[in-house]
Amino acid sequence: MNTFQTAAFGLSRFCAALAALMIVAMTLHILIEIVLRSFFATSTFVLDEMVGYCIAAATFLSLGYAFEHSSLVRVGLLVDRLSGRPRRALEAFCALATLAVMGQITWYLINTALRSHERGRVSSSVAEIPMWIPEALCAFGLAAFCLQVIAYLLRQITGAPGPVQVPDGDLQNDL
Amino acid sequence: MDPFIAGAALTLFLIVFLGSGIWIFAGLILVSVAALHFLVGMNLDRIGTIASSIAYRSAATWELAAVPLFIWMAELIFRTDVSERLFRGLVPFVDKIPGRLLHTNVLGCTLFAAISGSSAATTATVGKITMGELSRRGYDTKIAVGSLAGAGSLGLLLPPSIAMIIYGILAEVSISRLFAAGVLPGLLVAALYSAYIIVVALIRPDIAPEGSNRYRAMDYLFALGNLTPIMFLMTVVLGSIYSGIATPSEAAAVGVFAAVVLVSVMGKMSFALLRDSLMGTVRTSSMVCIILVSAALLSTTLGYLHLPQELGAAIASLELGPVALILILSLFYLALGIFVDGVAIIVMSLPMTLPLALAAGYDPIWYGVFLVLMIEIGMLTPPVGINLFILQGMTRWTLWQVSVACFPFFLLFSFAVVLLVLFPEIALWLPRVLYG
Amino acid sequence: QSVSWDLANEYPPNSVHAQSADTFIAALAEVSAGDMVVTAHHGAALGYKSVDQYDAVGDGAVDIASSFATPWSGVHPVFTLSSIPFLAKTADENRKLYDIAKPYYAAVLEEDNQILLFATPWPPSGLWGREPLDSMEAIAGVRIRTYDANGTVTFGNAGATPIQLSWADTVPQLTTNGLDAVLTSADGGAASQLWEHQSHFTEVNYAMPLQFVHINRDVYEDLSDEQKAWVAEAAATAEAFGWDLLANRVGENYAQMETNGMTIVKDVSPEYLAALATAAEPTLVDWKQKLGADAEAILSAYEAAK
Ligand code: NA
Ligand code: NA
Repeated sequence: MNTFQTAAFGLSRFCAALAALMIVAMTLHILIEIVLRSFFATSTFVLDEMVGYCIAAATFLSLGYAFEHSSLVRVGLLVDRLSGRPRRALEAFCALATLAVMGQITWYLINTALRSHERGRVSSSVAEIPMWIPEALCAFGLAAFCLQVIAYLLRQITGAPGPVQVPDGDLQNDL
Repeated sequence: MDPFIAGAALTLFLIVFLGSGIWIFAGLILVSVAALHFLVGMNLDRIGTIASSIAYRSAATWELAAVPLFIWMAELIFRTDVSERLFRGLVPFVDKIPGRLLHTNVLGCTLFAAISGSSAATTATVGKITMGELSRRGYDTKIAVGSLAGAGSLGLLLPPSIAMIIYGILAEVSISRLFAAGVLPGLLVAALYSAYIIVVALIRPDIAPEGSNRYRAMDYLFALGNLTPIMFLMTVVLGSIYSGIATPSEAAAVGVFAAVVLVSVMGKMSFALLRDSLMGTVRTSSMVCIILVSAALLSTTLGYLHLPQELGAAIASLELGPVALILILSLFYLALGIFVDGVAIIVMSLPMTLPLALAAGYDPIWYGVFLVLMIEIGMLTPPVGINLFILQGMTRWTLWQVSVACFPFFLLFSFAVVLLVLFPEIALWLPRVLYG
Repeated sequence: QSVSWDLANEYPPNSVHAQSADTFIAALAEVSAGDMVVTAHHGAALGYKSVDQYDAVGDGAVDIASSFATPWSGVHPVFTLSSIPFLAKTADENRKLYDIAKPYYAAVLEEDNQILLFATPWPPSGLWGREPLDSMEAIAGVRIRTYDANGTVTFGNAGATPIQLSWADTVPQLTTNGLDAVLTSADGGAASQLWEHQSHFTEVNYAMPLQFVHINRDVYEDLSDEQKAWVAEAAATAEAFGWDLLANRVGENYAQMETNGMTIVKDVSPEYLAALATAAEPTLVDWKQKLGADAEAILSAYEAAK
């Protein structure tokens, strides 16, 4: 059980690191494009396309990590008033509902990526990027998130503590 | 389906799913799935296809990139002493103004709105820099939170603005004129906010700590020195946009570059700083972007429900005069803004409402400004309001507490709309002076 | 009323393709006496772009869509035929090319579970600029915003500096002189009031790419024979409308542009057009190579018909 928790959070952190790399890559690509355009009268011709892939991948890859750090906001109206078993039951319900819709999206995105790969779909730019690569990256991030939600669900059932201790307080400045 | 029944059902779904404590992005997706299944009658296979393709499409959007990049810039600033210096620099200048540093959110958002085209990026970035400092210095957090959420939406009203670009393309009006038209209303909103803070500070002096009242010329000089880093940042980013070197969408990357230069010059650059700032960025931008993605799915759902079309047709059938029409349209957008955020509102409703407004004699430029104001109000109304969510993430308050803190600023914003309707020249004067 | 469909379209309500789609919807409502209702979602109001609509229609996410075919180049090379520069130089040639290629388009769409109802052309793209762009010298080094890979190749070969920007970034870049020229139709530029930053439109009839209206095959097969006939009738009406619209629209756009101080540069030298066509040649070679035998069949039929 503990191994699974460690593995799930380890995967989330790995994905978050990938997301961070995507953000760095986006920044560098935009800066390179500006330099190429301003000083060399040329372009990479694929800026908005590549940045689009990076931001999508970064968003989905970082979900599990943000989830465990309680960075994904929720309405605490009911949850915060409960504790002990009722709280854990409600948390389990929330996790299940989240898992249901995100699992559905993950499943369909995996199939989209598989189809793109099978049919050799590429983007319409000069770079002709195989579409399955960004789609698979996003699906991978979503799958890792679903695994993290399963880990969270199991913790609600067993009552085990989570991997990240989020301090309570007025201003977290998590933002 | 009757639009009012559909609207009531959607509200019920929202209350049940969000109220039970499901993470907001997942709750919005659940509402969409439930509405498509129970109200439109789609099977789960079709819904899965729709949800996955809209989620991927709305995430893989070039304009969204400004969110993580500006947040990264803020993270770099926030983890060095640039933000602290900013406040030390501002203290002497605001000492005589009631409310003192509470005005930094309004001022900061007004300035930052000039380099950012999105409200989410503006709120998150300025908040990251100011909120910790303000609460540390003993300022009233409630008014700080409200003013930040309210002023953050200036990101769309002051140029550059994604919302105005989208409106300009759809309504076929000049984007340059729209940009100009947003300037005075934006400054008006900022002035209303500052005036409110002053009034509250005069009535309840305890919202701000004591001033010192003893500043000399040297202090002002030092203060200016402390403001240099932030001035440098603003100048580089603004300069890159207005010299044509970078597009408004690219400006965020220039901001990161300038922040990295700044941090290096100040001798604070380290691997740990880069790592920590990036991991902080990843957490925040993931939250903001995934909510924008799920909000896009909700707006797609409203499209499949034909809600905007039917309400638009209902309004058209009333055959109202200009004043009554704009009143009804305001209520319509207020209602739509409860469920949907940002530019999605423009895209889904414009084909219905623009012809009505034009037929009633409203100027398309003016209507664009009106619309942007209305969608900014929507960002302040629960249960779906991106600025509320960002503030909620930052303060870890409940959505209710954040909404209450924002309420006065919501009212002020609504007052600005009333002024815009009564005095259309607020929007139309500047574009006429600039472009004839 | 037995049928209610949603139609997705990326472009604004006033654009030529939104009007063609609206014509289809109105004609269908009329011939079916209100039995078949289609709700249009123009301006990407449903959240789909043309590039997404291929699978969205095939998978049944939307029933019917009006899509710019060029972004489908990565799905199948046949879809870029109409965007090959200077292949069809007049509206008449464009129509001939479409009539010849239509079965090929329909076959690919059919494989992906959808039916091609009709196609209408975009108005011919030309060069918006701050001066007449009517010679190879004039376009040398000009920073021009192009809309597809073919434009990047063509204007790169012609000695200009093609730039890839989102349409949303294009106007701000013109304002700050970060961009000199835009490759788009008179109609597309007029919709974004490009005359505020540009003074000349040089007519080169670069390409008249197609917009497809396509419908999910399961949805279509569910119709009765009578309903299918209504759909065919409405499609024919809208197709005729879309092709006729073009001639008038160009004239209207030119008049509107001149009112706003634009100079329309017509009748550029054949040498210049030939040089541009030469610059565009690799795009045709590339397309032939990707499509294979069908390309030869289409092009030889086209040469014969021309
Ligand atoms: Na702005
Ligand atoms: Na709202």
